Amino acid sequence: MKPLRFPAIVALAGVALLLVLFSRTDPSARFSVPMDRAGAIQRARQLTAKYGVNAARWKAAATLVTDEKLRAYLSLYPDDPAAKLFSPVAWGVVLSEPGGKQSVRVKLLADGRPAEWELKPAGAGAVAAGVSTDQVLEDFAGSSVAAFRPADRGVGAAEGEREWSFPMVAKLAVSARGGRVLSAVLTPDYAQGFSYNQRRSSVTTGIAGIFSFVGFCVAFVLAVRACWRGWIAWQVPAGVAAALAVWSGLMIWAGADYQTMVYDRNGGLTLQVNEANEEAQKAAGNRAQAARESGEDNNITITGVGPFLGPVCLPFLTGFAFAGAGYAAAKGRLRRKWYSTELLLRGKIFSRQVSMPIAAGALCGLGVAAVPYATAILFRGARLLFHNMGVLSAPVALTALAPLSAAVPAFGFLGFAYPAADRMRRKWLRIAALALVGAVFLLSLAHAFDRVVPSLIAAAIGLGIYFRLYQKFDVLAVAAAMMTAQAVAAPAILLAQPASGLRDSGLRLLAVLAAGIAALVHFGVRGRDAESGEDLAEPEMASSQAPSVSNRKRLEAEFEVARKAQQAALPASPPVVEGYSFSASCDPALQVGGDLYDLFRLPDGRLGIAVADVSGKGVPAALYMMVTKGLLSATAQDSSDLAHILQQINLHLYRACKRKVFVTMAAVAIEPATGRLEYARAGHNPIVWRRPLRGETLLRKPSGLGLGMCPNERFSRTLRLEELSLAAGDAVVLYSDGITEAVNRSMEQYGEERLLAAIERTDGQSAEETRSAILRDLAGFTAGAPARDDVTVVVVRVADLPREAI
Amino acid sequence: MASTFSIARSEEDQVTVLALNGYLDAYTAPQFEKAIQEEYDAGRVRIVVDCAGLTYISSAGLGVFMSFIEDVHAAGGDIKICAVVPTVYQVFEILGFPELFEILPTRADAVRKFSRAAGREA
Repeated sequence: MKPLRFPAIVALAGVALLLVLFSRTDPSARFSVPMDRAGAIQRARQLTAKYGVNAARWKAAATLVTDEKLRAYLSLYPDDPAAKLFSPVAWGVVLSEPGGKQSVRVKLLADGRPAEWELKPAGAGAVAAGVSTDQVLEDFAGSSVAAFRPADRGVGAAEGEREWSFPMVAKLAVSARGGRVLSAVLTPDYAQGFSYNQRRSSVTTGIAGIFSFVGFCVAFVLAVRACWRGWIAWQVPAGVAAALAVWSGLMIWAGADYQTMVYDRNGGLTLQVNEANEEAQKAAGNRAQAARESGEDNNITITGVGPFLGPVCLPFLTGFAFAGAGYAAAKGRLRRKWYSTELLLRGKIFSRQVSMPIAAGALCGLGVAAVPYATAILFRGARLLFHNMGVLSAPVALTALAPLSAAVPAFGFLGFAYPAADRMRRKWLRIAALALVGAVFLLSLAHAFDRVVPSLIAAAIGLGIYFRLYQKFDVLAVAAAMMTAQAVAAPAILLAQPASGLRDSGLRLLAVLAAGIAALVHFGVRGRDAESGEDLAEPEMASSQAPSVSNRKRLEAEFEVARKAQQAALPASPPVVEGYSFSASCDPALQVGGDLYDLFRLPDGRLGIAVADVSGKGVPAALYMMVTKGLLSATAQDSSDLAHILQQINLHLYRACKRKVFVTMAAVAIEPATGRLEYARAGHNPIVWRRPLRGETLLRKPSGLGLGMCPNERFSRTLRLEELSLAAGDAVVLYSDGITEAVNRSMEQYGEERLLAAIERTDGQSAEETRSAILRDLAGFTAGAPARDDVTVVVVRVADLPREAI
Repeated sequence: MASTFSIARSEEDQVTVLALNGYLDAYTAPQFEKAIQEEYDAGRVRIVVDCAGLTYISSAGLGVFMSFIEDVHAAGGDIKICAVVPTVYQVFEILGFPELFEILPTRADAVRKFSRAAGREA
């Protein structure tokens, strides 16, 4: 559970932000909409009845529509007469006849006046007597009616088309036939010289968009190719398709309003009717207006697919495409951060190594979805502090949620571009490629708000969360976070609307998401392990990943037994020899280790000491450690010759290990009475001889190959035995490379020099004190950095030699 | 830990040069093993291991050298080591590698050794 703590905190904070603080960021906060959803629908019905269409029993759908251009215009000219006539945030209501093909679309301004009213199809159905066009003008223009003048329609104008104009402010076009109104549209007439460029059309975001699009296309082709070649298990595309179907189903079930709403990257809400498999779908709001301006309504037929293409299909397809392409690019040279993706693409979808990062990513995605809101709140707070200094002149658009979707292809691009870039030979080329990718990512994020600073802040927070996820987990977690953030964006938009009905839909969608994420977390925490098969690039990695709970308990118990057996193989207490003190310890880096020490009596009465280190780590090393211990005990029973003992061990190890594993060993034999010490070194670290009386510290390094590396003949040829004479106060230290190669956090090695210095500071101390001083010094150096290798030390201290020997 | 390890392969005078870079430890040793195995399987047994970029070698990494040397010798080739930095050389020396492998100061020396030996045979 521990590794999920951080994502869980982010998710909780994010959901809290969304649920508690979102209302402050809704677009109506400044350009207020006093009506609620029910009021808007009621008003639309009244108006429709007045215009001669009996829509009392028709189905109604409503959403808020923000006109970005109008919003920018009114922010710039707050005193313009248009401010009285228009409001940038309006209600879009669609009334549709149950089972029939007729529908009425109404756009209601903040004060309840209509801005658009349209009956579709124009000629169908029997309609009761309508109202006069002058009455319509009154309804639409409200108190400004006196300012409207009939406009000259010219010769070609159809009969029944009338137009009024409020110069420089607004135009009203009414279409009527046979005394009944078919449509009426009030449009703003912007002052000359006002132009509105949405940021999305700027060059930089355009470039970013092209990169994202091209990146997606390339990635998708690569992913399909990888599938075709069998690099990716069939379960993966099947799983993506299944997830897509399930997700769509859940979204439809969970949010009635979701069906009528499409969230597109332009940030506005476009209202659409999805009339149960009918092609009679009407559009309201910006899109319909744009379509009408171009004279056609032909975009309507695709809208039934629209709600799923944008927020549902795209994240899944993008995730699949980039994961597949990245895997294909990185194939055979995967880094640790890619293993979970590899497992996923091999079809081991339900293994813990896969579901854990996905769960963490999904949790964080909830938090990331709240980032634009958090940033907006930050800026609103700043605005209050600085008293309307214009930090945030316009209300936060829902565009703020766009970066989350833009981030998916951008980071995905990074995901497969990085391993690809890694293949580039030249360093500058690699750096240039990665810089380009980074720039694309930032540019995609930069249009979150219509101001640069909040955009960058939102981007930075999002990036920070993604980066932390990457550090803690891997690429897969980041991809999952991005997809979830985008999926959460839809309910978040619904939640940001002030009307209660829509908010319910948002909550239901969030609940579905939360249930999905909870299921993933459950899998992540309790899911089974992918078999740590040899087919993984690095078996040691697989074994170091946490197994499932029951398995882990069993393994833990077994490891505990193994650890105890190993400790039991080490001498329980140092021998007692007059005039000498001995102290030894062995701390494995993992539960079981490959280090070994032994103190034993040789047949000729001398005291033998050996320290050995088996190559490699973990269980294989531990097994050979026990083998070596057995060989040592067996040969030291009937031989007092160090060279012979080492040769025997080499002989057997060479036969047993086939050179795959080797053992290094340092061995000494002390004659207590005389202080003569014989030593040999089989590929092991040198022996330290501290001579306080002379003030010198020597490293003794007679030649000798490691045990089990080569046949006995060659081993014997290189092995040298040497001898030294101990004096009172001398110390001899045998150690393993776990000490000298220990590193601190900045990857500095402890090294021989620090070891020698530590030993020099222990003159006059007992063996026990010397050993603990060395280990203390080592611990002080590494300062908590995890041990990479087993640490073994044996210290012999000469208190004073028997008199006759001196 | 940043386990950055990479192998750059090149050929000079029909000698394979494997330039090691970074940390060769228990985690990265399989990568090295695979690289040598590929050479051996392809019958290219004249191998120079360039250790100029190698900053650390653990016993597992040394084991890779050991596990191939005799097979390579048997196939009439050799593994020569060159351009070893002092810290790594110390590890080689402790284990007795100079007894088993030819360790040369530069890559050019190592490649030349091979071509000279080939010249003598010819």
